[in-house]
Amino acid sequence: MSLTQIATSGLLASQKALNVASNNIANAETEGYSRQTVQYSPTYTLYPGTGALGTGVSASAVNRITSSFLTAQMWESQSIASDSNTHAQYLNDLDQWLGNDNTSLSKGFEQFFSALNGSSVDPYASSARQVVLAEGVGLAERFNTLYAQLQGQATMIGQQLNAAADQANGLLANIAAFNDQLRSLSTGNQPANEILDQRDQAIRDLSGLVSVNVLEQPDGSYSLYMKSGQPLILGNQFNALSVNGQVDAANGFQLQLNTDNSEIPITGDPGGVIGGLITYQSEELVQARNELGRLAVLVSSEINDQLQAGEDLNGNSGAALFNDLKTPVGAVMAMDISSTAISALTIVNANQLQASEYDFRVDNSGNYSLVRRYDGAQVASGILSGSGTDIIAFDGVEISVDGAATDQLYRLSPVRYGAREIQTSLTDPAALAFSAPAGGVGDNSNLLELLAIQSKGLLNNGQSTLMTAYSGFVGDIAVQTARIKTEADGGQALLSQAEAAVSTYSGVNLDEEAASILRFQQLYSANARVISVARTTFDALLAMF
Amino acid sequence: MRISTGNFNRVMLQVMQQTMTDLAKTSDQLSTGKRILQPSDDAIDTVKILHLNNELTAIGQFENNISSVTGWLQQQDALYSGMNDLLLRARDLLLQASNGTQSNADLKSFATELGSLNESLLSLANYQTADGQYLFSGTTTNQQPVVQSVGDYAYNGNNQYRQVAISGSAQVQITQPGNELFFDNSATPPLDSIFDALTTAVSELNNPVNLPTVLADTIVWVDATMERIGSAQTRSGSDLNLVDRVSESHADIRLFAEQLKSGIENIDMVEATTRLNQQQLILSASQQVYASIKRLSLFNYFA
Repeated sequence: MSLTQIATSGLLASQKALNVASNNIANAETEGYSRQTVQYSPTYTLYPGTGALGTGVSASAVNRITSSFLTAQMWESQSIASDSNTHAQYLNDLDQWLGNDNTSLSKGFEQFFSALNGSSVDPYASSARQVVLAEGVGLAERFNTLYAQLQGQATMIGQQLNAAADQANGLLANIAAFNDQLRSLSTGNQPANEILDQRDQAIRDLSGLVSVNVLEQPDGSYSLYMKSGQPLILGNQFNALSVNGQVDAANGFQLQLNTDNSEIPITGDPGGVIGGLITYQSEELVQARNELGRLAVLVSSEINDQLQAGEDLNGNSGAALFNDLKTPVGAVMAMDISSTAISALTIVNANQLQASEYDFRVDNSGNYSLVRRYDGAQVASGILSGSGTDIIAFDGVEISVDGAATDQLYRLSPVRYGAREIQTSLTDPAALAFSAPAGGVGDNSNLLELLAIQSKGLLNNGQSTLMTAYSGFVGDIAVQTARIKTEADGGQALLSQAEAAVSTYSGVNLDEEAASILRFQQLYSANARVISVARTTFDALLAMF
Repeated sequence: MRISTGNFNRVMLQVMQQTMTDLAKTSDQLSTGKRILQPSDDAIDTVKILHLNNELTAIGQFENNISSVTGWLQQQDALYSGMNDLLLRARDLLLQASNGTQSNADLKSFATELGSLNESLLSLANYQTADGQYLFSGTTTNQQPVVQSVGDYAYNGNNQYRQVAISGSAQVQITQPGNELFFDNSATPPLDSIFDALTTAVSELNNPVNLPTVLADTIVWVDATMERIGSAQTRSGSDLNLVDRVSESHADIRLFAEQLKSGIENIDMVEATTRLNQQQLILSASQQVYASIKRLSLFNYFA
């Protein structure tokens, strides 16, 4: 074996190493790229045993430096960080609306009652009455505005869920395709490094959308499962995600997995951005909608009842200021088409209302149960009478149920739309009934009763006034917002750590690559020198003749 | 430890962005003067602030009421004084007329003046506010309280009055039913009001029949009416005192609540400015560190 041949193998090996280093340099900022190194091995040995002689070097493989443990940790933290971050963004908006003077109900209550108070000195004066009407409209509009903000969030959640599901499906398709490509491209012991990187990166992107469990198969392909166990990818096959439902559906938007023969609804928190959206939708959004609705129903019922007990400037008995919310729209939602048992839902005592929705179930034998969703408490149960109409009462609400009904499922939402529906129904300031019946136009005694409403314990067993109920709710949301923000910060820190760990192991360091280039340049020069030496030696030999 | 170049850049950028975010928040706090920019910044103190705001609003409502109430009571006080002056003059005339030395011509001129005093008293009793409401007709403020029907005077209001809250526990009466001032329910018609009494005295002076008795009876009516008006005036005067005291206590509570609120809500300027400086320092330090580390590269030494 000649010097020239040996040196040539060295030249080629150092060229390859220079290529790998320059590829590393080129990808120094590429996300998901793992640095590569050349693995050298000596080529075959001549005359083994009798006088072994090396024949040179070959760059036998280009290795990708990764740790599957660190990568898996990063996927997991990516999904936690995206989940809590998305949740925190929505909750933060709600927190700001509730605290902002322009949207806060607290300001609305204050201004409305101040206007009423302004009439108490001179209940006859039409300018002060006009202010009461205007502040009544203002209060109703604050409810409407807050509801519209929540509805905007709910709509946005649907759009984002759809976008996230589309994106996830694209990634699932890619990962399945990478599984396939890797089988055909990874020949011998030289894996297709870039595709491995791309697959890992795609799984990271997917983890940002929805949390996954990854299982490596003997053939090198990855099987992916949802946290709840359903299969997403097996080999080159994948099941697509889709979003079901609509903004005003009982459960809003829901995620489902579409397999060949079935559609599986995904319940619970699926993690990632999708998880953050679904959690906010089913928790704080529902809570906020019901709490605002409850306050809207309560304020309209209290003010209307008191006004109707009085007499107006024209000597007529009092009219309602707000519309009647006691037979709420959209409060009865049948969860399947066979449910037709409930014919009416009426609010009979606004003071007993809870900021919750309810699940009403009747089994095949007519046993019914009513569960308050907010805390899971069973608020009514029994057996239907078998004929006629049964009235079932709970939490200040009554429903009329077909006594012979079986196998029914309903979602009851007595206060869900209260904040959307509230508005004033009075335009004539003279029609505000500030005086007691037969009290005369200068009498303000019914007005004093109206004013007393602001300091009366009206909710939660007489514990809460309108104002304290609202401030309690604001405080509750603030605590949850602060908690989820801390969680999101923690998630982000965890993700940064995981990223740092991965990049410390797999990332490209430019100084390191510069040093490699210097080394391999030197190696190249040395081998070139050997060739030149070989030539000089041969020339010297020739010169002898 | 190996540091990957890409990650170094990303981490440095993250640090700078985070510091910028912190800086923005501190400068928001400084420009609004508020420590709590949204409820989640401090849930417990937010609830406290909402409660204090409610309290301050309630005090504001009472303070508004107090300023209107004061106006109404002062207006009434002026009317009472006017009535009192009229009745004093009437009493003088009645006393002069009853000393037995006046000529019929004198009596007639007394009659003329007494008649016009009666008219003035009637117009004060039927006093209307700017928006046309009567002050002395109870709560039927759109009805003229004293009307003349078939020669006699009758009360046309009710005996209720209007109260206004000036604090969570105190209310003051801001109207006075006229029947309690000018009428006597126990007296027999037609002589059951001061107006009837004065009218009778006027006709007696014009055409004396039983002058001493009528004049003496009329003086009794005048005295009784002055006493009724006096006690109403005393009541509204003591209400005015009450209003003053309550108003002072509102001012104290307001001051206390505002101090409490600003203590909770307002930013500690020294702390916040220090924090701002520190954040600026961190930002500029990380910018300098980033720039100077970026200048270091082995590639710089390649020939």
